[in-house]
Amino acid sequence: MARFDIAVIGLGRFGAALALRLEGAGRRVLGVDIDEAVVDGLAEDIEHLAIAEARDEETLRQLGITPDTIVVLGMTNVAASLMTATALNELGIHEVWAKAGSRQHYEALLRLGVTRIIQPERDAGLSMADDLLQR
Amino acid sequence: MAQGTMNTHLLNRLVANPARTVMMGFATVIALGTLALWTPLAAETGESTDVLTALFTATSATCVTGLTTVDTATHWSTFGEVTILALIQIGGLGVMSAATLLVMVIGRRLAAPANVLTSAESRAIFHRTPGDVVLGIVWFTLAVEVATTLALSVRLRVAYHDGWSEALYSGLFHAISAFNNAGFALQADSAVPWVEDPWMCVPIMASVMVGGLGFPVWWEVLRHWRQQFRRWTTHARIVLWGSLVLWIGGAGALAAFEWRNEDTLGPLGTGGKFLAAAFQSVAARTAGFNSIDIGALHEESLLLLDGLMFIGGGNAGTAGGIKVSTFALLGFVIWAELRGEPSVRVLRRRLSPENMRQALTVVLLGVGLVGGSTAILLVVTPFTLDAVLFEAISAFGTVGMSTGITGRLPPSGEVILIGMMFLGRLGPLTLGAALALRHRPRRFEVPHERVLVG
Repeated sequence: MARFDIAVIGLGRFGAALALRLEGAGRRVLGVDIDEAVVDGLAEDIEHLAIAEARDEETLRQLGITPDTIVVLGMTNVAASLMTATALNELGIHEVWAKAGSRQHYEALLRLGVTRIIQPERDAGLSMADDLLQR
Repeated sequence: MAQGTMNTHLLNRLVANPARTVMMGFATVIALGTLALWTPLAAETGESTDVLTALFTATSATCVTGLTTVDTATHWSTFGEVTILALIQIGGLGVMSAATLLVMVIGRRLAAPANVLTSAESRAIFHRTPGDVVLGIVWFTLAVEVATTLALSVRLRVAYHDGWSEALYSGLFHAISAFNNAGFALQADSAVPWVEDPWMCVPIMASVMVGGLGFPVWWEVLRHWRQQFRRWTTHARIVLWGSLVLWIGGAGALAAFEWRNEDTLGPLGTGGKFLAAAFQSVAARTAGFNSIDIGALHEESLLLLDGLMFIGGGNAGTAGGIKVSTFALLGFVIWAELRGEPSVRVLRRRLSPENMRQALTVVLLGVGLVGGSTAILLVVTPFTLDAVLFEAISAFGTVGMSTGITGRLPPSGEVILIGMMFLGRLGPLTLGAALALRHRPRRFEVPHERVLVG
């Protein structure tokens, strides 16, 4: 059994909200971010947190991420996101979900074999458009 | 070139597992020493000594402690005494060399590659070959021991009417014993006959001090003397100042405590009182000679000596204990905490958190070890707490002073002391090295949280 059900890498507004909801639902969540202040801010609500630049295999392995863990990439930084996705690929992680900030970012993630990708601004825009059309 | 490769190879083997290398070396020497002392040849009576006594004496000599269950002069034959002397010398040189080499290795490992050139300038000892350093230690040892032998022998010949050969032998024995901080004496009452004789006490004290400061400090002192250079390392300054404070403070306190004690300082003249107090203060860290009767000291004096013995001397010297620098580091930590400073400053340099943790680990493990063995000794012996505690610390600090209970311990008590001497000699050294060398690269960190303290 994996140590964590879900690992969230990148704890910005997107990642933090995601991780908090999952933790609240009783999942074993690991939250990772480079920024110590961000991680410290979440320390009261999430049990498993790590401060790390999780871009390479060794770090990911040390964090306890196994192929069975579902990994969510929450960072908008394209380079960090793609490098992490590549490393996760090499580790043989079955399921990687990610957030993309731009179309190219989306394309690149897709080619790296990421399972599911969302583009928050675009998705939110589309969903608002749907709402408007239904009025 | 060939020698260079061999040295590097040797260094690498030592580095691979320094703790095990050093421990195995010591265990082997002790085993050989035990065998030698066990033979009938080693005893005055010509009958073989029991194994436990042989083991105790061999351990005590090799770990340069000086605790004895039998009287050195009367029990052992000349062969036995020379064996003890050899063990002391091997033990002393072994500790100094091993520790100095470990210091070098740690220094090299911890210095970032980019800083190698600058550190070559200021901390020359890190950039010597191991062979050079060991050779330096041997020369240094020889020089101090020869000088002390001469001083003692001449005095013994002139003032105590010993024959030349006898005076030379006694002088040599005590010189080696003093420099290596072993505290073995050829008299049952140690240095008591010389209590008011500065010509005997001062050379012994000087020799103990020199041996106890540690080779890295002397290396720096010698370099300073030969060529003026920028600054002293923080380590050397801590050890020198710390030792000075402990010597003077210890002597002053001891003189004050014992001034009127009829069985110790009381009968002596004023000069003699100060000489004896200074001698005892120096010997407590960690030579183990005594010029006054330790068993007759007041309890407060015993406690004072307990403290001095536990702290011990300088690193990579012949002294034992947790070392002056370790003790001082914790002092600096406390000072910084009391003042609410964000980091610990030591003589205008910042102390790394690892360094703090190492000091804390060594000290607390030492305290735990002494506490545990004291408890066991209390159970297996009929003696009081102050005597037993003194004995345990004396063994742990490889001091060798005793309130006089060593010879009356049951076998189980002797075994405990053997273990304490071994751990006390090698524990802080190998533990310190292991801690400093241990490098677990962790690629992540976890969030902060405070736990309530105090």
